Amino acid sequence: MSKKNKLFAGFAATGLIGASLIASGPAFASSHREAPLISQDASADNTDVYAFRDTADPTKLNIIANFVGLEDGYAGPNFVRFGDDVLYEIHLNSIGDGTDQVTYQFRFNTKVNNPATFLYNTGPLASPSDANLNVRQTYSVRRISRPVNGARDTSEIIAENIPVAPANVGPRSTPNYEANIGKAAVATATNGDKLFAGPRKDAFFVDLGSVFDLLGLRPLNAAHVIPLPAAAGVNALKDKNVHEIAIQVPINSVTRNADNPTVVDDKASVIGVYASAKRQKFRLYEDGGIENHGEWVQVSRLGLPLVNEVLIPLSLKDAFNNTLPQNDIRNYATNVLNPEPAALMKALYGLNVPANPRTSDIAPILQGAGSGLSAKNYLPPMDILRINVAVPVNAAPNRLGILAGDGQGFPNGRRLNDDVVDILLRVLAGGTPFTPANNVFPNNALTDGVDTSEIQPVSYFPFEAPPVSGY
Amino acid sequence: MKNHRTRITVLLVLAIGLPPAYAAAAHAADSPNTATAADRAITHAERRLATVKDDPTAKKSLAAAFLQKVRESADPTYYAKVDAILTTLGGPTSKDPEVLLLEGTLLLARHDFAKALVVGERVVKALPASASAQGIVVDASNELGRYDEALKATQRMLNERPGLASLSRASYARELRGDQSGAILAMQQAVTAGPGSGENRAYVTTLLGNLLLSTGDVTGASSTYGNALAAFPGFAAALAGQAAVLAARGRPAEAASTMVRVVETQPLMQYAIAEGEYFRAAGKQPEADAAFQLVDAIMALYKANGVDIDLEVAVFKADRKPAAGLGDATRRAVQARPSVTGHDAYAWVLHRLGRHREAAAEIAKVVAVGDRDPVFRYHAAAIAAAVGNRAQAIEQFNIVVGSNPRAVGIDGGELQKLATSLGLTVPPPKP
Repeated sequence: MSKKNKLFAGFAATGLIGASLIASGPAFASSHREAPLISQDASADNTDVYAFRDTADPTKLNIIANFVGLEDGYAGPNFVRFGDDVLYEIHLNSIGDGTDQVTYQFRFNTKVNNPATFLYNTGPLASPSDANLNVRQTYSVRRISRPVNGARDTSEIIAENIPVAPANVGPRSTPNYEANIGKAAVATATNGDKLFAGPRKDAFFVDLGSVFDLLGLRPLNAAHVIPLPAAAGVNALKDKNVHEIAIQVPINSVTRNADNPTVVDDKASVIGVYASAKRQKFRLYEDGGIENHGEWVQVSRLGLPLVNEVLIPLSLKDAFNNTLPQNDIRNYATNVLNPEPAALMKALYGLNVPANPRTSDIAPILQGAGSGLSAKNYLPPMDILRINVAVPVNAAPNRLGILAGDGQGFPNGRRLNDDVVDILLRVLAGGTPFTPANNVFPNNALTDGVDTSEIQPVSYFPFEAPPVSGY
Repeated sequence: MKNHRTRITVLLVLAIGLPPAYAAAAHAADSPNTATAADRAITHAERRLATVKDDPTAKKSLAAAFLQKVRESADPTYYAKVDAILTTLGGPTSKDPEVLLLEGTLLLARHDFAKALVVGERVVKALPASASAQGIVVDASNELGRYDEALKATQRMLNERPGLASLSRASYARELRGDQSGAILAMQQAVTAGPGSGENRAYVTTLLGNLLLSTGDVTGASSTYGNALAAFPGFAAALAGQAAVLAARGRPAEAASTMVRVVETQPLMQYAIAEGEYFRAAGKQPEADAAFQLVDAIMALYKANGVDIDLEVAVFKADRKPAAGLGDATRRAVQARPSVTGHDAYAWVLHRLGRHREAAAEIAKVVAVGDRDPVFRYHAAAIAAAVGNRAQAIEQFNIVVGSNPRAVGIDGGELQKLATSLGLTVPPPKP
């Protein structure tokens, strides 16, 4: 579980065991037994997924999957890397059932030029593959396509040996970072897709410190059962980096009919997106023999923001991360339709929240209602982000997306500046048009007080801002 | 270096309880500006409980933070606090699987492995797809010597989540069966599957160093302990590893001074024993005696906090002057913990009491499992020699010298005598 997820576990008011790693005491016995029972697996931990139409070229779809998270710029000399033993995947579904029609697979490989030095770089870096870079990570990308129009399945390597953007070490090591390294690390695949992998400033913004403290919302501090003076929100991710994997693909390469849909009611206009990370199965001595690097086992997945972190209780997280979105209704409908944080809102703020199970608001919202998806192309509820690619790009986006009438924003896909925390708070409190009785103040005005990032995303691929420097 | 007598007094006072003000002052002195995540979690949870009394979430979070705190401070007085919190949440029969997970962890820490297994199986029933629930069963089964069950649970854990927690246990399953290279490979995977830094990474990296050292790879072990310290500066177990490397290189005096620092930060029994043995190997008997006195104090502290340490006490006492009653006490302890550690301890006590035939039967149980731990094998060699089984003694002796003949628990002088009696030599220290 990522550090961010751990903090959100507090938000969800589910058990906080993950907040401190469980381990038996170090007393005496044979040392193996004191190995942790729960441990972070940061490199395989998916923190956020974004999907949005490209503003400059609306025939293109941008997808961003973030991993690791809460990285400090000054993490040297052991800067965070993608896992060489992890399979990172972006899944695209064009027929509304959560299965994969297109899959992008990323694999990473690290080489250390000179193991005798602890230095990350031995001189200034003028490019992502500069000879002065001592710890070098590259990646390859495989694209798997399972067309539904009768064409043959394909699986091909579309990029190989592409340098991962190095860390933003500081002005001596990485002068002009964005020009020399950030932009230079954008690659073009053999099929024309744009690719990026490397550290960036995390685009997510949230007042973790306050929501972790009994679902505190600083601007509404006075209304809390334990009142405090109202205050502005504090973005906990203000100066944090994340590891970003981004792709930009033609919309017609991922729709079911290989077309650019223009009608929002057209079932072909909706694309489902989620990301996952897998590790290899390990077999001890049981039947089937010893295996150190077996088939891939999914250890992390994420589509919609905050479902994995907030609605799935800690005790089910391993199971959730092992399972597939198409089985979410069967496995997790109860957790989602009886959301624990809503009960907490009632207890802590005295809010009148809709009664469980939340079949009249949360269910339709998760299916796509109001998000540019008409009832005709609702998808079954599951943890995938879905985007209607027929909805035109909004030149004046609103952070509250659908709640502010901006049908191109979350939960229709997700743009980097969509304020999913405020949206989710209001949805959980019932402050939406789906539950008119609860769509009142303050339910429909809940906020953590952090409305956007101090460091804004950039306007060009890969969109998240250059990483915060260690200097 | 602090005076040993002061350290003993502090530990004893902790064991029997302190006036609260004095205890608070002691803690403040411990950690000026070095609050860890566990400290912050404790502050947070206590603040919550002050306002929302009986909030089960805050209670669980506090119990978990206390358990992590023992890991960082080696102060077992937290166990009683965890116990009290969990009792208010239903203890071992709670309906909340997260409480059971904490309860299982506490029982493991207190070496109540039979109860831990029962609770572990209860958690698995409630959370069949949770790797950490399986982890309780793995750890308890291993300590109870139920190795087939432990292996199966380890595999289930791996199936749920191939990660640091499961791969480090997979490594142990192999080490236990004598597959050292397979154990090293699994532990390397555990290291890369964990977080990029921090205590957890340092921990498994240290275990990897220990494995390398036990295959005689002193250089590999040394750089691996260095990696662990880079992941978590000042990490006590890695410093202890570096001391073991110094000892393996024939520099026991330096090893002893390293252990003095380790014991200052983490007064664990095995660290104080290591300190004493290195001092003894360096010819500094008074310092060694002071360290062994400290061991007695630590034992008292753990006993006072509900940790069952009969087996550990047995080995320690057997290495010194075992009283006749130690045989019975250890036999009872082994019945509760029939693991390789248990059988080895009982075998060694019997041997030191002159009951060599019984010792040989007992150590055979350890050798049959396959673990190539140099101390186990040193015991096996000495016992075989005592019953006149020269071939067996030579075989076991060769395993010891191919591993780490300067490990804590192997008396250098005794090993030399054994070598001479077998017509063999102890190889010189490695560079």
